[in-house]
Amino acid sequence: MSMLRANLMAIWGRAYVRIVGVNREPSWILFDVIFPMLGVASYAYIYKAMNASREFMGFAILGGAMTAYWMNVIWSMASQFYWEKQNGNLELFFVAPTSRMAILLGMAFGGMVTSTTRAVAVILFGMLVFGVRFTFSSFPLAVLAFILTVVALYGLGMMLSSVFLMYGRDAWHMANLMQEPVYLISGLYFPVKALGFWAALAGSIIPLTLGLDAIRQLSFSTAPTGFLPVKWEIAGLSCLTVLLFFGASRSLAYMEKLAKREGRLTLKWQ
Amino acid sequence: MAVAVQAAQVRHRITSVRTAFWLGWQMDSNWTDPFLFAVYSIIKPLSGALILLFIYRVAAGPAIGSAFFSNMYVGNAFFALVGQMLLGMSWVIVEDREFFRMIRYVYASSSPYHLYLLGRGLSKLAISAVSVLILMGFGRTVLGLPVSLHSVNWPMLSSTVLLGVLCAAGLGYAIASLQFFMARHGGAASEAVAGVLYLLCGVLYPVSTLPPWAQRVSRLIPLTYWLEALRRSVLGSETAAAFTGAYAGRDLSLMALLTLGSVASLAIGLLVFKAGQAAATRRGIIDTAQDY
Repeated sequence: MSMLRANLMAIWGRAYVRIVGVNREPSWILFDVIFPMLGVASYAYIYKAMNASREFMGFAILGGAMTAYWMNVIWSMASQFYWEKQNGNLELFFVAPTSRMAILLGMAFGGMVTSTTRAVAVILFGMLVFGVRFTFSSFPLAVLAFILTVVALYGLGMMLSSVFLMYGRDAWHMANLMQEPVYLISGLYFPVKALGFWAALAGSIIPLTLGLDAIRQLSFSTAPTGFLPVKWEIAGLSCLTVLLFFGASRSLAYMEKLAKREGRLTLKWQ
Repeated sequence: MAVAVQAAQVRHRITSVRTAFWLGWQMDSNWTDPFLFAVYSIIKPLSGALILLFIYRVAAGPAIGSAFFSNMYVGNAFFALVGQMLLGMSWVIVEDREFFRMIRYVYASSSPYHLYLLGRGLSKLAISAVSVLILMGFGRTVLGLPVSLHSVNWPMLSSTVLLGVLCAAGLGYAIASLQFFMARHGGAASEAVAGVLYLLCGVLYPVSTLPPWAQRVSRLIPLTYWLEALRRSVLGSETAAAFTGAYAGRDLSLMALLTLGSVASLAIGLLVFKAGQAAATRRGIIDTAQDY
């Protein structure tokens, strides 16, 4: 079997488990889709309570939709090696004749099913309940920005997952720390420009920042704010995508070597 | 003789809660040095508060006074107690079953399982209480929140917090009972429920902002009254009035309503938990891990 075929099968195999696993128990629809959708509404209601323009509600809804991908990257991808280590599956992944990145891609594709369902639900909810209307100045560019954002995010997720090869709960807590602080520096619920130029620029290391800002500028043509011109943001996202995937490949190889040398690769409960 | 037996039982129960509390604290804090743990415990809630600050800055129109922000800030700061209590009591089942694979040993020990969950929830609550103090200090010193040690109604605040813990424990038990029947993704259940409460109870905005049907639901949840009582005790009734719609009555009737709601929440939560626990035991799924 060619290496490419083996890797494609690994991607499908890992994604399949996740898709089937989650659909065997429909309770995820309630707790992973419906309730989080209502949770996002809180931020839209703040804008409503303050009589802010409707675009701001749209900003919050869009941010809430993108949260689904970020959560998936952190908890179902980056920290997945941690779970696999505890469950005893990590050894199997390492003896399999496939790339680690193929396995991680499989996790990403599998996780995208729930993430996309949640994101779509949040957007529909925003449109129906808050009357959010998208007035695209360029729909193809908005789609491109979204795809680049998601791909770059999963590259970042792969890179972060390498940390879990080496560490245990330290990395787990790091993942936990990547929620609210990232929501803040990415401007998930407000225009990132409000943070100030340098803080927003520093936050751009996370693809969510540039991606969300570009999507907002393209989706709300009357949007009052944008951090950088859309073309710059798309160029930045393209660079991030390449850099993060390259970094992920190097980081996975390095951390695997380091973890093997220090005997931590299959060390549980650290 | 009977009194001595009862006293021994009470002591055993207190020890069960205390041990679970200590275990939770050890598990949460022993992964790193105290300084890093403190930073970790501060950054998360502070980021959440700063998100609100930026939302307020970009959206506040001329009609919005600082009382609005104060109410929003205080509601958000204290709501962390509820979120962490729910997480502490329900996530532990997923964690012990799927991850540490020790649920059977805890379950088979002499500690009543519901008290074990309570202890684990209280340890999370203790950590988040530190965050609340830090957030309030930050709000006072950096953001100019109109709060001072002298202006706070301490008796009302302490009794409100206690009642809130009872209410959150009831909700925590209800969510925990579901965890017996859910796979690993059920770990998100407590956060999801906390998100809905965040929406309905007027944490960040007046309840009157919600549609009429949601306002009716909101008035059935004790935490709505809990937030109202917290705001009155911390900010004073005048500032708290900027968030209209939750309850307009006097403090005493508000506290009576909150007491009733919290006790009922705890009782119902415990009943639901016991029923769930019994059903899971009958089906033999207490320690069934689902690796996917």
